[in-house]
Amino acid sequence: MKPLYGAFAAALVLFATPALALDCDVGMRAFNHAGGETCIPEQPQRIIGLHDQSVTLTLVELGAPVIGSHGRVDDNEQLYMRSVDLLFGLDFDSGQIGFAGTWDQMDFEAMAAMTPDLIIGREYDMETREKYEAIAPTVFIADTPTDPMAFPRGIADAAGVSDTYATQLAIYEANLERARFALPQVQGATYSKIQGWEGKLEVYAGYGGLTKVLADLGFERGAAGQEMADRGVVWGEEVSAEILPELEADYLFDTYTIAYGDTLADPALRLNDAVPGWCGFLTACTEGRYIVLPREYATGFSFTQLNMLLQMITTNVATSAAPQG
Amino acid sequence: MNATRTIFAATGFWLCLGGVGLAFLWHISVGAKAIPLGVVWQAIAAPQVGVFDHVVVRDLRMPRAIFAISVGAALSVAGALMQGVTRNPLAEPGILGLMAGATFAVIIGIGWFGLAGTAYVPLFAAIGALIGAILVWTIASAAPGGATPLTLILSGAAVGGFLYAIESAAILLNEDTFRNFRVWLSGSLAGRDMQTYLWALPWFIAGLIAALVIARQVTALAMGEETAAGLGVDTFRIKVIALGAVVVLTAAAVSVAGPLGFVGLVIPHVVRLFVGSDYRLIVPFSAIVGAGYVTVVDIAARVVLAPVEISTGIVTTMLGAPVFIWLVRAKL
Repeated sequence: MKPLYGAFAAALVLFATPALALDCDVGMRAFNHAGGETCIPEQPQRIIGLHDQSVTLTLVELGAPVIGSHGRVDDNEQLYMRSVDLLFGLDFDSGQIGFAGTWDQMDFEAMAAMTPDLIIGREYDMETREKYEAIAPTVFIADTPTDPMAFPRGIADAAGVSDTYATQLAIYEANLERARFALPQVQGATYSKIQGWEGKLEVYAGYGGLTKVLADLGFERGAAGQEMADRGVVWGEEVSAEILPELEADYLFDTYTIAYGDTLADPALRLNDAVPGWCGFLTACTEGRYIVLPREYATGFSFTQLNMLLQMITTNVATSAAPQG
Repeated sequence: MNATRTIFAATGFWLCLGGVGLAFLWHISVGAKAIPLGVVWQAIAAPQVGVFDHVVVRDLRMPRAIFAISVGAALSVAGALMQGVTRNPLAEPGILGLMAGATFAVIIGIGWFGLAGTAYVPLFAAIGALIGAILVWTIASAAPGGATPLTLILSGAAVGGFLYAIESAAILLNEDTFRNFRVWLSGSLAGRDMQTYLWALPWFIAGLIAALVIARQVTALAMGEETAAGLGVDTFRIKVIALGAVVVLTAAAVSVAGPLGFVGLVIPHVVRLFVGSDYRLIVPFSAIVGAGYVTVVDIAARVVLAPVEISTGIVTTMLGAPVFIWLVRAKL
């Protein structure tokens, strides 16, 4: 029987070994991501980001060598990278970053012509992963609701700029400490992230960097947002405008979009389209704790955005009346 | 119509009208927020400023119920006319390209010409619906065997698919400009503004009146062109008026709610089961039953997953698609 045991053990080792670690070439390393394990360059030199305001933005901020990015077309039919243009003044005309297509319409030929050595996308981009993988090693970073920084941390890791990430994180945490000291009133205060859109009401369980900053500061979600988060909703849902009073919280947050030419009054007007006279039915609004922030800063996880959000929220909360009781 | 039939028809009409009234009351009484019936009545009879429940009833539910009634009546009558004039049991604005044309035109009008919330929206929709209808008819007529029910359906699918592809391309290539169309394109009565409805209202009224006026001649046309001509019907004139009414009704409905699929197909067939083939009855009964149908469907769209709402068009399509399949098997 012994030779049989030996053969069985050898077979086990043989079949188990490939699953333990990917065998990568010199200068490459195995990287675990939402799409599995992929060999990527240890120090990538030519990276394409598959989403402007999440992936590309983080890469640019951390000083990673980005050569191409997903982009958008504005009302004037000009290409741009949302938030990247606003925060870092970068556009496709600058020559540093090439246009790799729009959402759901990526330009694979243009991407191949850029000869990238790494492509970084989100979990949502995995649908066409074979096409990306034919161009260069591709990794997909998951959005983890329970650990929002896992996304930028994953991008930094893939791009080989984890040291810069750690430095930036330390700066943010120091800023956070100062903000928490300045805002003792928000410890345990509730908030609702609401938004009017096309005459409808939207409520959010998560809103990217804004949710993180609010949680870091000590805010807690209101009941409706928490119920959504408990159901695993990462972002938000369109809900009946009839439940507006259920969205009552100590603070209300809403967003406007600079790229759309919104004014600070537009978010409230959009809510008014959903529920005429909405403000009068929420104490937080009538008492001046309805805070509007630019979406370009609110959704991303770049440290520039997080630090900016900290400052904006601190100023707005500090200058508004504290909730009663 | 003999006297007995007239009495039955009149009784049935008033019963259906009462049913629509009940559907309307049901619509404004239920929703994501539970409001006691007494408060609903108070909101109607003696509304008070600053009472949220009154806002819900008067500003959210009532306008939506009115939109549902108007859109349901318009699409059902449009479908009935199309089925009568073309003698095609599968004819309706959605299947024969009118809705696709109207939707496409509204997207172009609002997205590229900035016509949102203006009186031009129904006009653009009407032009689009007319072009869609002409395109479908022309393509079907050019096919071997001419414009048969089958070639019309295939042509409608082709035109609808083509226009949808252009819409998708326009939205993908300029997502900022077209960002507001996401929900409207699925056919929704939520969040529609009263101003747009008021602009569309004359179109609703004109289309319904025209349909009622030509109902008798449509009955003759439904028996065949030669029979109709033999009965002294100016078939060309009636066809033109019917096309105008269908275009106007589709345009008004699309302006308010976007594309609501299969309403114009389902309702006339249901009505025909009860009132027979006389369009003097089919047209008014389609209007009433269609109004009630969309109102009830919209209640389902609002409350089934409350507080999350689903587009009314998704529900009408889910209900209408099996009827369409049955009709294809039974009548094509």
